[in-house]
Amino acid sequence: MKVDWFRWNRTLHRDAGYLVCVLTALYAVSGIAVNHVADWNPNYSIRHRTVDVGPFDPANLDAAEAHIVGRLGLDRADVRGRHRPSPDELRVFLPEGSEIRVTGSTGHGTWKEVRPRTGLFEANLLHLNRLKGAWTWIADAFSVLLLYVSIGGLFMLRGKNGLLGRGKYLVAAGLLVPAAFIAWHYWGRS
Amino acid sequence: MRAILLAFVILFSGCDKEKSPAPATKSETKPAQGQPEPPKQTQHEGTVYGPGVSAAGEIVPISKIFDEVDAYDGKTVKVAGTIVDVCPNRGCWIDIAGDREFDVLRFKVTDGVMTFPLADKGKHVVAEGVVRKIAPDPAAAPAEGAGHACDGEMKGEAKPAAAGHEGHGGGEAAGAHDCAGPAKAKARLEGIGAVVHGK
Repeated sequence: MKVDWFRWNRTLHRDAGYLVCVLTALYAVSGIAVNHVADWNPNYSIRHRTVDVGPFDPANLDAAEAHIVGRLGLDRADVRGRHRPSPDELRVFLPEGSEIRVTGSTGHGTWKEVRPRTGLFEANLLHLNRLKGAWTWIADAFSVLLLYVSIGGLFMLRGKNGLLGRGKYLVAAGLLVPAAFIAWHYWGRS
Repeated sequence: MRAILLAFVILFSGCDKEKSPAPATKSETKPAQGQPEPPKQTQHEGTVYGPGVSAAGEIVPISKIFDEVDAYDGKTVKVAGTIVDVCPNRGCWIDIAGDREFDVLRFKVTDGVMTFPLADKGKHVVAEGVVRKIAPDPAAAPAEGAGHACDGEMKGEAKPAAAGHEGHGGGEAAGAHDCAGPAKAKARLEGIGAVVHGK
């Protein structure tokens, strides 16, 4: 019995495509986000605002913390910790990495509010494999599938629209762009 | 379908050791500088980063590392303290407050090997790493409160805005540090592993 490899490939490619489409889209969005890490924070939204809680003595840690928290109307149960970075400053840590940093002599300071970027934070978690453990293997399996989708995609069609037809020109064009950048990296920047 | 869902639940329930913090007491989450640290643990429990920390060996006070930096340079040590800063972009370093006021030691890891979330700020950490002396470089040392264009600071970040008008930006602002460590630090720790505990 003759096996129709093109037919099998199309069937497998179709089903593999269904399997990987969500994660591919997720990784693509995360990829764009982390590509620009120098310009923005892809994981957290951080807002700063000035606060004025009135003067206090930072050396008295408990009283100083109570003073800041009380003046800003916060729940003291939300305080995660505190730190005195200099003799006249106190930092009070809040959930999710938020913090208030105040100068004792003036009472002036900054409230930094941190919030994970919903959706993007989770996408980066998966894309950058911060979960480790079993996710490493799942991500590997995903990559193998993606590799198959990529290579198998070359052999979906025969004839003038296949790899040996117009396909070879488009594949060459796709290769040319990264190859040009690599060449420029090694030989074009002297 | 149920079998597939069940398999996923089982698979993921044991996959994330970095997201299973052990219960901690209030005192563990709020050890302030100059105040007693939580009791030393022989088994370090909490959220484990990298291989964690070895049970053997004493915790070295950060003040001792700074005071005897030449003696500790290149040695593997365990330190403990409150996390007072986290790399906001990549989670690739944490700053640990020392037992002596105003001492801060940076624990730096290779990007991606361990990733500390900003939510770890204020929690207690036991960290193990290799001490690296930072050569004094007055020309390169940032002024107190200033930052370098490194992990902690980015273009277009929001500066503190006037009350009632909130800025909105991506990264750290005042108090950002360079990659080597906080200004005036004499050493930093090349991270091997860490255990963080606190709510």
